[in-house]
Amino acid sequence: MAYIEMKDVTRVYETGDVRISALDGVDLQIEQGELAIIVGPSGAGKTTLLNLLGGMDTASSGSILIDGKEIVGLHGRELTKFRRYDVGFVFQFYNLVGNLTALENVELASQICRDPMPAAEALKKVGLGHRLQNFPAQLSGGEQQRVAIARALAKRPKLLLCDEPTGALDYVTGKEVLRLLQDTCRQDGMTVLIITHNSALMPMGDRVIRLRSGKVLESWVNGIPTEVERIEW
Amino acid sequence: MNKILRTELAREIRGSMPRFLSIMTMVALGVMFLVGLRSAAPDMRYTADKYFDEQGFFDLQLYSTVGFGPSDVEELAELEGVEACVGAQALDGTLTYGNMEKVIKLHSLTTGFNAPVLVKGRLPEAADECVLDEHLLDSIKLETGVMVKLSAAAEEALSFESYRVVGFVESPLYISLDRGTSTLGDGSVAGFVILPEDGFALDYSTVVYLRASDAAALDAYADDYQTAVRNLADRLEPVLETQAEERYVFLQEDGNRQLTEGKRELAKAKADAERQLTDAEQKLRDGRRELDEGWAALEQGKLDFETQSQAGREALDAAREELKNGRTELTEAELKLTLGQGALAMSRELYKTNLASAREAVAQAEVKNSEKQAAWILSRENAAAAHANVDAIQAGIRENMIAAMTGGEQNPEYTLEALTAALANAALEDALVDAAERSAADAAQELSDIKNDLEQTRRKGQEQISALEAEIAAGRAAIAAGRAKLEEGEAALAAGEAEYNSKIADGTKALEAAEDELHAGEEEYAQGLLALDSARTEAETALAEGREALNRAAKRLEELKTPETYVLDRNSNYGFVSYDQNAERMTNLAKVFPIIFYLVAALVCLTTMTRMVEEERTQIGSIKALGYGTWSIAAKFLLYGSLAALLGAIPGAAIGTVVFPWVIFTSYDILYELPWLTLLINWRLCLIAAAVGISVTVGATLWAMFATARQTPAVLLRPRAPKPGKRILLEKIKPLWRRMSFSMKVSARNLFRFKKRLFMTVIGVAGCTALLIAGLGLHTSIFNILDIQFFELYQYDVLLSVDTDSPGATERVEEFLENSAELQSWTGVYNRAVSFSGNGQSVEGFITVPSDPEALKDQILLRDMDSKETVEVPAEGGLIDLKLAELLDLNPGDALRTDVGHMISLPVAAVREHYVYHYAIVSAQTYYDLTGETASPNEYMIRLEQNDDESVSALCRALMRIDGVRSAQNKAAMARDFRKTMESVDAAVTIIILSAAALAFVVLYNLTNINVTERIRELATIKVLGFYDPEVAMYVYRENLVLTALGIALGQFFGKDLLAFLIRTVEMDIVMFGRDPKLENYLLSILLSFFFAAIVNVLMYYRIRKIDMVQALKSVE
Repeated sequence: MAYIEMKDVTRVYETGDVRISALDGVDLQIEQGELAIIVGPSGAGKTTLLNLLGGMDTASSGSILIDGKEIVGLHGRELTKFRRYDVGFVFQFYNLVGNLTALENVELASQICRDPMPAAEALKKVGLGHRLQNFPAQLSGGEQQRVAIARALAKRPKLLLCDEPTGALDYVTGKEVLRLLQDTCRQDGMTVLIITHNSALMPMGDRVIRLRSGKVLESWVNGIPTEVERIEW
Repeated sequence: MNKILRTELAREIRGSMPRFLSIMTMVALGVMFLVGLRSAAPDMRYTADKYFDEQGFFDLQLYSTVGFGPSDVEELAELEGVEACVGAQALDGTLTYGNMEKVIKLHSLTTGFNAPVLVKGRLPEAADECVLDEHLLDSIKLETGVMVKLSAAAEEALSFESYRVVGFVESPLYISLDRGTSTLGDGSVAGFVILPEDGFALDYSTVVYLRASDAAALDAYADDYQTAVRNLADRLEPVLETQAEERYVFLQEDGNRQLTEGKRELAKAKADAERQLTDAEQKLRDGRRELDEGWAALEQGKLDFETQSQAGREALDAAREELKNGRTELTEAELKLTLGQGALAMSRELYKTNLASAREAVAQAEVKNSEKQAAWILSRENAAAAHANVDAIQAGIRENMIAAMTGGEQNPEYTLEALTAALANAALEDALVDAAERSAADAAQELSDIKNDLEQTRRKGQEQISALEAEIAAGRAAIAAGRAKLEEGEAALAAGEAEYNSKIADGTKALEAAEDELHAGEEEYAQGLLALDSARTEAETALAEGREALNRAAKRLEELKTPETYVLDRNSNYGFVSYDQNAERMTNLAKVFPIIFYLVAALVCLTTMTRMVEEERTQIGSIKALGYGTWSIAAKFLLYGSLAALLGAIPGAAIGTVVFPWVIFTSYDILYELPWLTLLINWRLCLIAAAVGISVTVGATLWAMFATARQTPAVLLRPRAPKPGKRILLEKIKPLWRRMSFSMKVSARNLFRFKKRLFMTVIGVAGCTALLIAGLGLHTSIFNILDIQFFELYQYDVLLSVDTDSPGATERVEEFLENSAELQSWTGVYNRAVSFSGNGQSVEGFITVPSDPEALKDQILLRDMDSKETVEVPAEGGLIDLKLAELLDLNPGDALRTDVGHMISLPVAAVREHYVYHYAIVSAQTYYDLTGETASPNEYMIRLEQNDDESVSALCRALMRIDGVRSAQNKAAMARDFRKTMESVDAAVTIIILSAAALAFVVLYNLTNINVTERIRELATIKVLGFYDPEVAMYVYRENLVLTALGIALGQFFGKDLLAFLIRTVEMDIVMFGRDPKLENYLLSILLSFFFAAIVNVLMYYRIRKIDMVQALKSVE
């Protein structure tokens, strides 16, 4: 059985009389330790998919198994617990707490985990060992995103979910971040999901899933993923 | 501003209701307090002014030491600027009803001036009718229709002694509960009495009331009124002085003429009286002499009569003695006779008995004799038979022998043996015959002896009886003779006595008649003496009265000093002035409270609007990019702010205008007798308050907005650089920083990151806490003093007031108290109402003179306010209460000016803790030295062993039955009454506490709301990171709690000062509120503030839980 398994997952938003089907019967499987790239244009339902996988939102129907655990139907505290122990997030806009130093931002996450990675170690891992005491405002966008990754990694999650991690970054820095994510996946065996609208990133994934209009358009496994450095966009 | 923007504004308001509401509420609170407290005083003053105008209250009252003649009043009425004036009476006096006497103020009923308001009954019509102060209805329980005795302090001022009560009234002259003081009685005035003009017998007016032209149109509490009236007063003064001079001259001349006339009349009357008295005395002396002679004659007659009757009594006594002897002898003879008769009866009885027994013996002897004879005959027959038997046997033997010989048949019975036996038997029988013969002879002898005895007895008995009978007959004859003699003697005695008695009776009657005659003469004489005495007294009284009247007239004339005149305005009326002062207090309150609320409102608006502008930064940029000008963008925010402010100001002004004056007036209504409040809608004030509220909001909005709105669209469209994180000072303290938990560090940073918010929250919470402390403190300082005053300082249970004018009342009371077993202690004091003055004001109070200073300390705790140490009644100077010292700005050693009819100067020796009314306690010696009067107790303080309500009431009832007791007050009941009057303050306290709560809610809710909104991404982030809801909430609350705690701490200081201010502002002259801050109020304020904060946090919890992570994280800031 696959590490992540979604079966016929739908997500319908209702506002008044309007029904919007963000996900419309998604089936997919991702194995443990894979770097999965989910690609699709705006409104394809990428973020909805990520939210469902990350326990930030609940599916309207279907089943999502993560490491054999069903998360559809979880509510409130159970869902929070899932986020707390099993998932790490990286966002497009980093979402660091501006009033906390890099180290403290990581600690913010690690202090609520059962077996966290020491915050300093996590930052060292992302190459920011020398900027522990800097506030987000004093860091570049790439550095901020690396702090965000360190914050996610410090929790030792089962799953690292990244929502357009390079969306706010320039080419070079974006590559650095992607490199970091690929390394994390390969060296630590972390299951990593990257959501992007940038099809150019597809070759770097172990598995690629293309979404369109709330449906899986196609998905395949790359036999030999391309190194980040070789990707151009 | 175009339609789109208006629509946008409407949506904005709908979308941010809590924000809109909080601005509204803050402005409403500010406006409410400003309008409410500012309206209270004008409403109060307007109500009073209207009442005064309606009742025709005077503008000026004129007094002259020589009074006003009718022409004077007419002259005054003619003066320019005088609308109307009237001469009237105002005198001190007393009212007596039953055994109750009250000091009162007497007024005449003046048409068109100071019209009383009927509460019950009707106004007086006849000269001997009166209406009473409504107070008296309660205090002496009078009904209409009863007669009361009135007397005035001035002589011959009243037309009647008694007046009929026809109604009860309130008067504009007395709107305050305080009726002032008097030099009469114990000095405290119980109320006023209004008589018709002809109820007074004075031919002049003691006072003139006057109204200035056009003054009624002016507000009596306004400055222009005061100026107008003052101007008129200045013009009146010289007129008044001239009038007084003229009247002075007139009175002097009139007095002198009357004096001369009076002296002449007095001399004539004296001579007449003396002559009449001398005549009467002479007549009486003659009568006396005649009477004395008569008495002497009577004495002699009595003596003679006594001698004669003595002789007669002696003769009679001798005759009586003789008779008595005769009677004794007769009695003795009769006794002897009786004895003889007794002996006779006994002899007869004995004789009969003896005879009977003798006869019995004879009969017995005869029987015996015949028996013996019979026995003798029998034995002889037996002997014969025996002998016959012998013979028969012999014959038989013989025949047997024959037979033997013949052979015949022998009879075996006839044997020798049988013969022998028969022979023996015959011999025995013979012997028996002899014996029987002897015995028969004896019996015959005996019989004859007994018969002799019988005969002898009979004879002897008869002889004895005869002798006795003879003796008795002789005795009877002797007695009969003696009795006849005795009767003769008795008859003679009776005749003698009758004669004697009639002689005595005659003599006595004659003497009595003579004596009666003399007594009658005596009585006549005594009456004559009495008549003389009363004639003399009468004459003396009449003369004394004449002299007295003359002296008075002379004294009046002598005392007729250069006249003084006074022109007094309404400020001389205690009710008018004190009411104004109370209104002024409200104005003072209005100076502080609204500022607090406006300040907080400004802060709330500032933060709220800043936040709003921040939130809409991008939108502002977009609109600006579309080509709208800065002002049309600003218009939205300004409109938003001013609309919120306006919508808050309207209910705020409405509530302020109606509720505040209502609550405040209700509390003052207990102290003043006024018609119900007239609410004025002060549009100007409302507009100003609203304008201030709106401009505060708009100002805050402009401040918040303009920096943003002025920037170029390009800058605005770029997300604003987030506020950079900064190290805080606290981090430099490494040991401390290291020890803090992660979340504490985060909170600490955040606190200092948003300084505006910190400042605001702290101020808001501090304001709330301060208001709570002030409100609660006001409540406890009022109600604590009640407990301290009545149950800690006042140790006594009953306060007894005695009418010292009732003769012997003091003695009766003291005797009762001496003999009451259930009392623990008691002491008497002299209490006198006086007025104290100094520091430019005058206050009513009492001088208390304890009869025993040590005993007083057992009834009242005398102690220092701060140290709580006992203070003594000073040997010199007075012990005064702290409030009096504060009011008149006195320190020990200063002189307290005291009006006891005249001014005295009482040195202040010490100050003590005391809360209700003012007292100067002085020793008896000090009082004497100051006033020249001796203080004898008119009040008693009494402590019971068992001071439960029932025992105390029972004692009060018992005390009230004592003649001359004015009142016996149960201290606990007094405390209850006082508490009731103070309860109105609770309304104000409630308002303050509610405002505090509203303030706390608005500030905390608003700030927390902003806090959450502003940091929604941060909160979403930590939610995503897996913080549980309570953890997310705590992330926010921790800061709130720290800020709340800081605010509360700061509020303690504000609160202390605010309470002090509040107490000084609302405190009345006669009461001192508690000054000690009560710890529990501070604790309670802390708890309540935290409680309000907790409620806000609970409300916020739902908002935090609802934060949509997905939305929050997507948005770009």
